[in-house]
Amino acid sequence: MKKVENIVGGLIFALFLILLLAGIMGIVLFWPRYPEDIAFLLGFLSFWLLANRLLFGYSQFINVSELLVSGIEPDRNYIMDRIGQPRSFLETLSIPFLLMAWLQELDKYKYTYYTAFLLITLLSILFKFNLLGYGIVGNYIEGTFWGAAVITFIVFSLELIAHTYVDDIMEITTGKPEEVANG
Amino acid sequence: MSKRLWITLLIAILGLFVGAGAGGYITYNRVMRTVQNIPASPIVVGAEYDRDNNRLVFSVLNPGTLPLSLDNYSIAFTPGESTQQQAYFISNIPLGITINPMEVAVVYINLKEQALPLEIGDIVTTTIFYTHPLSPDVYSVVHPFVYERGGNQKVDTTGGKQK
Repeated sequence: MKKVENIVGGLIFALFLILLLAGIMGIVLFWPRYPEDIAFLLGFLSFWLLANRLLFGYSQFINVSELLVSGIEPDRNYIMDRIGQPRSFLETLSIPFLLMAWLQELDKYKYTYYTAFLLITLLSILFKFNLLGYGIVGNYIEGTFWGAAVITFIVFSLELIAHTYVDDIMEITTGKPEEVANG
Repeated sequence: MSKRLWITLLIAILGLFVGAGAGGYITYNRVMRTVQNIPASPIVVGAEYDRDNNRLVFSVLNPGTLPLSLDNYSIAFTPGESTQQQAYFISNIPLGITINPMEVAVVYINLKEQALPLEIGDIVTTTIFYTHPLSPDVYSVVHPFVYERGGNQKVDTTGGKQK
């Protein structure tokens, strides 16, 4: 089962690399020429800036959780550096609870990000249905929205995957569910 | 593990939608900007015979986003069954009209001097030569005018019956 998983993971990674190359080629071939392209890029880059901590935070969380689930003890200091709590308090926690605290730490960035995305979505819907007058800016607001949507998609998927590790981590602290029931 | 697989599948489907939306937006705007720079052909939306001055009155629409200049025209007269007038052809009559985007211009097409007035069944085929700012080429639009009822407006779309 583990072997199949590795093969599938490798295939997905290869596919990802091919898509990345195609994307770079696309950027070179279709270099932004029109203001709509630039609006898209600006939305993409500014929302990336807003989501940067989330993107890296969830990716690192997934990596560390994967280590823990596969039986390797992760570095305590690495996790503690990423949580904004007093060091003396963090020292008392075990690694699974440190990971939970890390996930909680990322929540505030997550909701800030989603609020910003909700605002741009509402604004773009208002312009799209001509409630504010489509005018000149409406099309560019929509471009910014689509740029933000790409980043939001990545944040959302990383967040979903990160939260699937909660159950696995909790199993490690409390033991297997059936063992708990038996004991 | 199975839960993670399902979530990956969900993410893949969601990614398709987001990619289609973003790509559709960019492609739509690129196409719109390209189409906006294509010069249109003038359309004769109305044609009428002015019997007093012995001339045709055309209403010419420019449906595009670039100004078109009508340089000159030529007319070919094909007699019907009830007229005494002989067939004739006149070419290179200067016009010099510029039609702005989405505007209708009135164009007077003078028939040959000393020619008899049009009778029912006569056909006047007008060729208008025009240019647009993006190219030095000269294009043409041909409008066949069939005179059917006295003084009434007639727009012929089928090309007219040649004798």
